[in-house]
Order: sequence, then C-alpha cells, then structure tokens
Amino acid sequence: MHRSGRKEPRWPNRRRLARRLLPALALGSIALLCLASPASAGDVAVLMGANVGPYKEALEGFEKNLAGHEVVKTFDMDGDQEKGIEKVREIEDELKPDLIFAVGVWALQAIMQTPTHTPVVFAMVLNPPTVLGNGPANVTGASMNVPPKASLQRLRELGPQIKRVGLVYNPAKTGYLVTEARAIAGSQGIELITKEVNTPGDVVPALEALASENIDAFWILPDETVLAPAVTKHVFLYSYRNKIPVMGLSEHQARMGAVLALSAASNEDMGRQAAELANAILGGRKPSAVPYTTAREVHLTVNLKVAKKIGVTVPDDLIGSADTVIR
Amino acid sequence: MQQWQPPRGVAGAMILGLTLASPAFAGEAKHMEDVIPSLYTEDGVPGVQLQLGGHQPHFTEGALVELNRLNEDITSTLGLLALNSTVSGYTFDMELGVPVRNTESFGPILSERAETLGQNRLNVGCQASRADFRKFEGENIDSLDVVLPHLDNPPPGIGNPPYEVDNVLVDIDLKITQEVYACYATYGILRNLDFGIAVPAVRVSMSADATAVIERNYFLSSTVHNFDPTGASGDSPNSSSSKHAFGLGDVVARLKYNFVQDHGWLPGMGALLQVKTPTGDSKNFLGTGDTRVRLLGIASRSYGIVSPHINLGWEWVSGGNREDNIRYIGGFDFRLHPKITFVTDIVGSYAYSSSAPGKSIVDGAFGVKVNPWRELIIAFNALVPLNKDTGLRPDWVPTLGVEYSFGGPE
Repeated sequence: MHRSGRKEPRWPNRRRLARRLLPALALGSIALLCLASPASAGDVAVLMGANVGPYKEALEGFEKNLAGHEVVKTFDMDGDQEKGIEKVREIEDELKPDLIFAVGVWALQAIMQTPTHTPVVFAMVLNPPTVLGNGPANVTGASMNVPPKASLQRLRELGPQIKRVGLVYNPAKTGYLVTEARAIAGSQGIELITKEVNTPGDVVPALEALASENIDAFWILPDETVLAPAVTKHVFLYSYRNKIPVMGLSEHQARMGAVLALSAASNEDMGRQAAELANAILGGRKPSAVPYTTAREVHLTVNLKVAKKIGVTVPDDLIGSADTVIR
Repeated sequence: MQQWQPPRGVAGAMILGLTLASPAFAGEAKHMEDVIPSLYTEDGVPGVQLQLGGHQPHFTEGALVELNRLNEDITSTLGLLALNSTVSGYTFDMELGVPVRNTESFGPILSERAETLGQNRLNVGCQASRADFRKFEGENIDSLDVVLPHLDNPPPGIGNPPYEVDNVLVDIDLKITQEVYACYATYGILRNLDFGIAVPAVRVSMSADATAVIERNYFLSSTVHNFDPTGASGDSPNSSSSKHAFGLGDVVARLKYNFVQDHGWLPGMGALLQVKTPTGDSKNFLGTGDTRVRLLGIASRSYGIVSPHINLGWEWVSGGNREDNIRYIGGFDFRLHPKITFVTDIVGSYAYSSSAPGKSIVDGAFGVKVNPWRELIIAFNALVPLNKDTGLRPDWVPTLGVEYSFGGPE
C-alpha cells in the first residue's frame, strides 16, 4: 500500500552496500579464524613430578597422540611438593588451560592439594585410588598398574595346581586392588588368601601365617608396605623355603627370586593412553565419564632358574609367551 | 779426522730451524714456529758463522726436523673437558612407581659417559688450563744440548780441510707455556642426542736462550774458528729469541648419541663424533693446523655411588702425516657426598703409523666436581703425564671449569 504524498524511502547506496557486504565479511572472518586455529583446539599444560626418563617417555607418547590440541607449557616440580603447588597455581591463574596433564604421582598429589575445576589427566601413577581418595569428578588418567586379571591369569597358567594364591597387603594402600582381585579370582578358579598388615614389620609374621594356609603361589602387590627392600628379601626366602612360586612386579624382582613377573611395558604407551583420555575430554566428554585405565602393554618375565630350584615346572606355552626368560 | 756427526739427542731433533732460511733476526721471532730457527740467524742466513779468522766457516744443521711435531705436541696436549651432563636428579623405581633421588655422581671430567643431557636442555661452561712444558722426549727443555758439525766444504769429506773436524756445541734453554681458555655449550637436540661446540682462546709463550762454545778438535782451530765476544761482527756465542701469541684456537664441534641406557644388566652405551677444525693460527701454535675427526665408543654404568666408564675410539688427522691415532680413556667417578664427586682416569693416545716423537701418550687425571648451588658445577682437574719420556710434556696440567645446565621443563 502506498502512502499518499510520500515517496517510499530508499536505502542509501552505502547502507545497501554495507548490508550486502556484512554477511560476506562475517563469513570471511569466520573462515580466517578457522584457518588460524583448528576448530577443536585445546590448550594443555603439563606438570611433571620430576625430570626423569620414564616421565619424559610418557610425555612424548602423550604429545604425539594429542589430536588437534597443543601442549603450551611444561613444568617440572623436581619432586618438591611446594613447588608443585606453586606451579599448579601458576597454571590456573596465568595459563588457564583446557586440561592439565599430570605426569607421576607427585604431580597428581600437588594437583589434589590445589583444588581446580580444570580437567586433569594423569599418567605414570601407581594405585591412583590411594591418591584420589573418593575420586574428584575432574580427574582421570592412565595408571601404571598391571590389571589384576592379567596377573591372576598368568598365575593360573602355571598349572592346575595353582588354586590358592596368598598375598599380604595394607588396606590403606592396596585395599581397592584386593577388592577388585577378589571379584576376578573366582572366574579364574583361584581363591585369594589374604593377610592384612599396617607396617613393614608386620609382613614377615603375616608370611609365616600364610605358610600354614597351604597356598600354592604368592602374589606381590604394588604395595609400598610390602616392598621395603628388607621385606622383599624375606618374601623370596619364604618362596625358596616353602617351594612356593612368586608373581613379582618387575624383571628385577624376577632376578631376585620370583618365578613370574608382570610390569608395565611401555611408558610411552601410558602417555598415549593418557592422550586418548585427554582427546575424549577435550572433545566434550566429562572426566567422570572416562574411567582411569591400567597398563595395556605388559612385560612378562619368567625365571626358569628359580622355578627349577623350587621344583616348579613352567609350561612351554607360558615360556613361549614371555618377553624375557631367565635361564 | 772426525766424521760428520749428525745432531745428537733430542735437541738435535728440535734445532731444525738452524737450517731454515729465516728472515728474522735473533730476538722477537715473526711467528712462534720461528723462535728456534731464528737463533743465530743473521741477515737471513741461518747457522753459526764465525767470521773472524779469514774464512767464513759455518756450522749448520743439515737435517730437517719435525718442528711440526713440537707444534702438535704443544697444541694437542691440552684437551678439552668432556661435555657431559652433570647433575642428574633421579632414577625411577618401577615397583613403587616413584622417582628416587639419584646417588649417581656428577660424571667424569675428561672422559664421556653414555648419558645425554635430555631434550631441550642446555649446558654451558667455561674452563681454563695451563701447561708449562718441561721435557721433550725425556730431556729437560731448559738444557738442551746440540752438536753442530762443520759444513763439508769442497773437496768432499769432513776433515779436508782439517779444520772441518771442529764442532759447535750449543746449549739451549727453552721455555714454553700454553694457556687455554675455552667456553662451550651443549644442547639436547633429542632425548638421546646432544650437540656441543667449544671455542677456545689460546695464549702461547715461547723463548729460547742459547749459548754456544767451539769444540776444538783441530790443533790450529783457534786460528780459524772464533766467536767475536764483542759481537761486533755478529758472531756472539749467545743468541735468544722469543714470541708471545694470543688468539682463537681450534674450534671443536661434537655430537653424542646414547643408544642404550638403563636396560637390564647392560651398561649405558653411546658414541661421540668430534670434529676439530683448524681455526687456530698454527704458525703461532694456537692450533694444530689440521682437521681432526674423532669417533669414540662410550660405555658407562653406575653402581651406587661408583660409576666406571670407558671410552675407546679412533682419530683421523688430515694432512697425510700419519698422525691418525687410537684414543682410550678408562676410569671411574664416585660420589662421596651429594655435592661432591671425585674422578680419576687414565687417558691415552697411540699414533700407530707415526715415527715422530710422542707416538704413545699416557696421562693420569685426577679431579673433583662440586655442586654448590642448583645446577652449578665447579670442576678442578689435574692431568699428570705417566710416560714422561715421550713427546713434549709438562709436569702437570691444572684445569679449572664451571658449568651450568638449563632447560627441559620449567
């Protein structure tokens, strides 16, 4: 409908031009921004517990597998908790990353002492529940623990005679692991015979108590109460005297007297696992929805010399699947 | 009639300069390599010339001697401290899942250990060394005796004319000191690959004071052979020459690769490639004048506070003078205190094709490293010749160095 006596207003040329150009400019700006940085870019800050080879390998694995994201800065707390807490504050206040990668138990402890809402992924941590407690919602990671199922499975492969497996543990350190192991042991046809200790001094009496329980094998858990050097010597003496094979935690323990030993094989792979978790979180998943992982590459050592001394025959299949065989 | 005598003893080997036509007048030599040749040289004519007596007899050294051997002995005696990583804080306990503070030492001083610095770490340092050379082939250089025979004038045959049987005996007091001030840097390109460079500044001082006497084997010798004690004719029995030089030495570049570390029972193993470039002025003994490429195999391991190590390799020397040699170092370092490491080594080289002096050199080294603050290391080393009767050798070579490491994670 035309208004009488008035011309229809016309947009001035400049305004028309601006209206036509504006969407193009906006699209162009967005395109430039997309070119300047990836659409899914996220900044990651790293806190290392110490400048030590295995941590550096894990960091290498993490950096190589961080898809579309970037480590902006790496801090070394050099084993100093105060320094670690200071670094966490610096990360939070100045860097404000999208995710923090904590390498090692000391780094995770420093973060736990400095409350943060930033998602945290850890790697190279043994027994994470002892550090995480009730499990803050923003923390997950790749632990160094060998899955209990793998340890029990290998013990079972020693032969059908392995039915009762003994272990000594401190509930405060590895109670969670024993709970998990009990749930799995039944399916492996194994009964766990456990003794609780609170101090390294309690371990030897606990071992002697186990001797009367007719166990078929002994399983060393990654429990620092049991791992004091003077105590592990008693474990291997116990094994030798009672002719009971031991499942240890490392090739070193196999050389000391364990018939079998399982350990995490690759620090770099633990870094890769952590990167996979980080990618999932940076992609939108909540850390609480991403459970922490255990070592997926494990190294099996078999000590045939010890096996022979204590009268244990190791099946050929088990020997064949070992990464290191000590003869 | 005495036969012509070739120059006796090691000093004869050193006095080649008396045969060289050197334009320098005795006094300040033009170059360090001219110090000895310029003795008794007058108006460009080398040799002792006794002009009193009517004829101009002269006593010359006919053999061309390897002064370069002396040059190389001076410039190669002082080695550079090894570019080692020093303060390494931790090992890792896989069973407990925690790092453990390292009881390892700060590393050796002259030899290499297999470990590298670590990626993105930088180690920088400076060192100062000094050598007062005392012996050449077992003889004190402050009292070298040379016998200069008479030139064989026509007709051929020493003793015809009969005054040709006289000799001139020269006693030379030689002083040689060398100081090396070097700064160096090593960078961890990769976790197991280091690159290092060392830039030395060298100061050399050399002086020669000679006194000659005539050995008269002809009964009428005094009628033909006499020094002019006034020196008016230039025939003084005394002559001296000296030179001081300071400047850039031979720059050294290194690559070290660690291919085994912390793997079961194996020692740590690595390899070092070192190139020494001829950037120093060889005429003034600031450099050797040749390119040297050294390849070393390295093995080292720590057993608590004691860390033995061994380096074995080969060095190629340019110039075709058959100076290629085998290099070896073995020793250990031990950490008696968290802040102090003692080091001891046997250091040696063997030039298997060479017939020159200094073919086999063996030294003992004793040192200490102190870590007074953070990653600062102060090192002191004493190098002591164990086979003093070969080559040009000082009594000892003290070296003082400081270094600091940066980088890696903050």
